[in-house]
Amino acid sequence: MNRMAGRVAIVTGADYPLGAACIARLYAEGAEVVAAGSKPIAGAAATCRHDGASPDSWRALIAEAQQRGGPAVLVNADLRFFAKPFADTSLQDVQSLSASGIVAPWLGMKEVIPAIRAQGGGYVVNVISALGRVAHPDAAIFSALSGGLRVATKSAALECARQEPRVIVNAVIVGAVPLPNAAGTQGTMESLSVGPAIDPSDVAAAVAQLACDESDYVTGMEIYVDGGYSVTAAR
Amino acid sequence: MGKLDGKVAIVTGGTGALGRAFSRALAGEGAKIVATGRDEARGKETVRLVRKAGGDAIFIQHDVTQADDWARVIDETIDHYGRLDTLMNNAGDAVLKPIDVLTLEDLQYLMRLNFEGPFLGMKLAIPRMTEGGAIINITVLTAIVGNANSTAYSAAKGSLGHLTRALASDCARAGNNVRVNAIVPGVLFEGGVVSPGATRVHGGPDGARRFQEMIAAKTPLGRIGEPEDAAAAAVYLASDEARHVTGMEFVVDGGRIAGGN
Repeated sequence: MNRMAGRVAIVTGADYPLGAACIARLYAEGAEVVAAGSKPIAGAAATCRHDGASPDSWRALIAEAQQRGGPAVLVNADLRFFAKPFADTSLQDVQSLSASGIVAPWLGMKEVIPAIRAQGGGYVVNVISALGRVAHPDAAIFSALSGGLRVATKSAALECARQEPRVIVNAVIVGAVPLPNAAGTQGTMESLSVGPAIDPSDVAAAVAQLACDESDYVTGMEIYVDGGYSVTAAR
Repeated sequence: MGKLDGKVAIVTGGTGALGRAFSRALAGEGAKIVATGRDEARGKETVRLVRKAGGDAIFIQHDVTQADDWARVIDETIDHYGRLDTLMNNAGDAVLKPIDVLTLEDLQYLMRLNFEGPFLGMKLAIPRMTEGGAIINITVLTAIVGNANSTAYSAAKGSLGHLTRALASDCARAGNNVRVNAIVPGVLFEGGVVSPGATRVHGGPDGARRFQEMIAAKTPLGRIGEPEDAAAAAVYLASDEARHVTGMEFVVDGGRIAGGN
């Protein structure tokens, strides 16, 4: 388990179990992690407060990674859960959720990919909900943003495949992992029926698989860590 | 400490380049390998390579289209190694021709080898995976999308792909802790060379060459893949790290499917 030795990785969502698990796993794989979060966390060489909707905030993360010779890897793991009946969802809800659900990972790719390329290429992994593939009552906006990010990930992969040094871009699609709730949600991840409970460390294992050289011929792809939920309708 | 220490894996088509890469990669993480196939000399070469790298492997002669052969292979695996954890349905073949040239015999041959063989294997292996297990079916990009000259091959591999999802669902409901996934390669050739098993390409050797150039040109990462590219996916799917991963298609295609092929 040393597939990322010498690599510097930016990981978001450090304050929550998913991001924390990714940080722990990448650290165990030998990476030096620059974490986006509000407090120091085990496995991270540095932690920066971060606003995913702010380009300057991304540039601060990049600068921290560059001081360490990176970044070679970006993991967008800062998911916020949101459930509300379609008709009750306000425009403000949508705008607020968009900031975390698509603007932040999109800005992350926009800002960090050139920095990854500048130091010789590397890997981007976006963690996305399986509700981006399977519809569920009360999840219209969450599904829309998740589905949008899935396709944006593939589009970024195709663009990056055309440029040297190569940046490989993939996604890990997650089922019922514990997620922090976005403002205004009327349900929790646990209150929806999205398959068996998934431990964040299992998500982190898939992230590591896609963030190392074993996956250098894999791009625009998705690993589903959802207990079969999205393809088997197992509830 | 390997990711597959203590596990036992059957790799069908362990006689070919892809099966050999799977065997070596799984053995490299500690799995004991039963490489199967029809060509004893090539199978024994796979065993030799695994052992040379410090792994443990045996070869069992096996025609995957024969139910009796499957029963014998599974019995001998458990007799020899004491358990069965992983089945890689890797044996397969392609016949790539326009439909007006394809024969019913071509389709039946492809269905028997690419679909009925894995069906028989899974049917017989799952009850013997007493501590759970991982089944990995090797399909192909053309199981998901349409490609020229692939009607019969697509039908056979597409059937296997959907069997994978359906069986994953059955196993999830049964709670037997058996996961069923697929690896979906684009085109993978050892050293970029068309393998002996994939030469029935329309147009003969020249057709094969043009086929390769066409594939490389439409692969976003710009090259034909190597068997090792898929082997890393196999290790992941066979390992306990993928314990929540089932019914999934692990695509190893240099980015082709992301853009619709």
